[in-house]
Amino acid sequence: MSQEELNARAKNAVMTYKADEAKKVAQEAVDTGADLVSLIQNGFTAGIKEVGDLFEAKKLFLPHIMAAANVMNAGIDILTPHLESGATGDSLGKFIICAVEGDIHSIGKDIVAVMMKVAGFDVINLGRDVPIKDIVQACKDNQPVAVGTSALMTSTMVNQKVFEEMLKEEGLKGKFLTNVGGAPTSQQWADEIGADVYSENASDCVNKLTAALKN
Amino acid sequence: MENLKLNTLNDEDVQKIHKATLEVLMNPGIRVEHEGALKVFKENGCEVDDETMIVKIPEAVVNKALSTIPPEFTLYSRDGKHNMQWKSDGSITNNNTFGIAAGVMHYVEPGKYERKPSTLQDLADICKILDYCDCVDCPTTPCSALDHADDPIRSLEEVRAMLYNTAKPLDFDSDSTFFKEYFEITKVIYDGDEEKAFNQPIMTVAGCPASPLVLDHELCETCLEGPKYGFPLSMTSMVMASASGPIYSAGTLVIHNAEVLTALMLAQLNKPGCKVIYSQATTIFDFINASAPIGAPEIGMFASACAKLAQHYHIPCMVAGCTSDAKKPGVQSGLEKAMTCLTSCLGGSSTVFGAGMIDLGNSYSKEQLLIDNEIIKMVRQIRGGIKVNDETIDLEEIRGVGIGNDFLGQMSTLANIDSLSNPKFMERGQYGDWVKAGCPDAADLAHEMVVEILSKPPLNPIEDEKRAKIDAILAAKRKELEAAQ
Repeated sequence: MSQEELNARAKNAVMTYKADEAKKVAQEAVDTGADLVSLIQNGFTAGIKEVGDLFEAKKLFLPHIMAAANVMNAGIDILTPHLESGATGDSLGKFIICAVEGDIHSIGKDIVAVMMKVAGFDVINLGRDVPIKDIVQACKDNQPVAVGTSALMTSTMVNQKVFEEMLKEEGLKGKFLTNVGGAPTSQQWADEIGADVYSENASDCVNKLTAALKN
Repeated sequence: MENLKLNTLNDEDVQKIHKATLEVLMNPGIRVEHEGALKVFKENGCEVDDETMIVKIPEAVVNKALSTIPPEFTLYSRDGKHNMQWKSDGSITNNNTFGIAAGVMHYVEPGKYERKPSTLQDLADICKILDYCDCVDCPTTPCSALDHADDPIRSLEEVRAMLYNTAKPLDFDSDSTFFKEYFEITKVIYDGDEEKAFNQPIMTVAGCPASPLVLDHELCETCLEGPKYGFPLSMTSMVMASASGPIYSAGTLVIHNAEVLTALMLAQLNKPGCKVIYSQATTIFDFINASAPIGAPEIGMFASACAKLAQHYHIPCMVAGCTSDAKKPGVQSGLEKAMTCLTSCLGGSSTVFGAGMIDLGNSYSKEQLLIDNEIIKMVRQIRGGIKVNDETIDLEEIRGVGIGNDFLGQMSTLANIDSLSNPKFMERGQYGDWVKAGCPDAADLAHEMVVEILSKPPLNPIEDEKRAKIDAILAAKRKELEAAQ
């Protein structure tokens, strides 16, 4: 089977939400020594970008994006052990995301993670209830282009401020963009604590960070 | 539990109202202002006073007349794709617009409206919008063509405007003078097939008793003549509790029941087996404002009670709901319409009429029609209830997703994405998005859609050949009436 055919099957698997087919194509690519980077870029990623475009056009909804991302991940999980480090193709850079210490709400944050991945970021999802010192350490370890913190409660949003302060103390402020999100947050809150970007929702996050990083 | 129901009356209540209705039909009886109708009642064993025109109907006659009523029928649509099932068992509830407004509340700008007398173009526009309303199944003549008030064929002009702009069946504000022409128009829809036109009606004819306890001449004419053409007959009582009916809801229901049953019995005794509809617009009288409010909670109570009575008699039924007295779309209309729509639809009537009306039924709003479509959709969601079975519990999926993950990308989510409520005009987004959009309210959003719909041709246009034939029917009738003047 040609590379083009493998790529087309991978793309189609994502767009039709067929995880088994994605795994099968990935395994075939590994077994036949196909170009795995091309399979990711022109197959799985091409598929999810198309789903993302349809989502932006309001022709598809969030569950479609999430399902397509699940399928893409199922395929990429099979390819990853066979890829050289950093060989996953073009990326807009690393984006670290988490729900801050004390906050266990993760669905919104996970949606942002998927949308950022669709947009071309290399997403590092630290999970929820992440201690501020751990976020800072992840920043040191990964050199991200941006970090997003999510807080769903007025009692936990204060940790976004703590994060900003710790970045300054560690001399990391200004080395990457910081983004805040979550129901109680606002542009005013971002301004108040010194966060670079406030995002109202997942699409807003993608648009603002993509635009800010182009400047 | 699925198919939620509101039982405003229990079986014992129904029996009490039925027995009291039988008592009223014998004493004081009911006045029937039509010689032909008096003859029908007399020939069937009723006590008739020709001088006072009062008819007393014994129980045996009631039982005989009610026994021939079809418990269900289909109201057909001109394209065959929008047929409407009328069932008396409460299993299906359709929704109609409201009739008949004399004014239209036109949207000018956010928060500003202008009321103008309704026109033939308004009627056409409302029907055009109706074809975009997936939860409004049929127009009950939404407004009158007041710009044709002195037109000898106004009624036919109204039928034409409705028929050309919506493919849905018509619950029509009929005029018995034109029954023959309505039937001719129906025949055109069926390419001249008279039998089909009779057996597969696309429109109903209607009348309203004059409460308390009077059937006027036009109503009787409709009851006697309408069924001869196969038109389902809708009889709508509009008793006002405390004015044309007792202040007690139960007593008002007795008056309502006596009036509607008498009209339907007249039709049955004259033409056994004809299709009929038990209808309600009964409400209260408002002493303070001297009005008959139809956004009142009582109308929903009367509606669900009447649905229960109609179910008892196995008669398809139509009741008011999704109604409001507000003068423009807004908080009051939203509250009253949601309340009355929910109460009436849960009552299990065959259809509930009210979509688009405001202002005690005196005005109509195109924006409100689109908003009401969403209210009805949400009410249908509630009425549907919660289906509990192995598939909808889906333990396997719960275990598969496990702890702390999400169900957004699950195949069952994708497969059922349309099963969740998703109103277009209700603001459910984030505050910032709403501000960016210009802070619109539901009516502002609905207006955008009104403008878009009205810029297009009808969604379901009628065939040119049929249009030409219907135009010819109207032209001939106009010529005939003008020659007679």
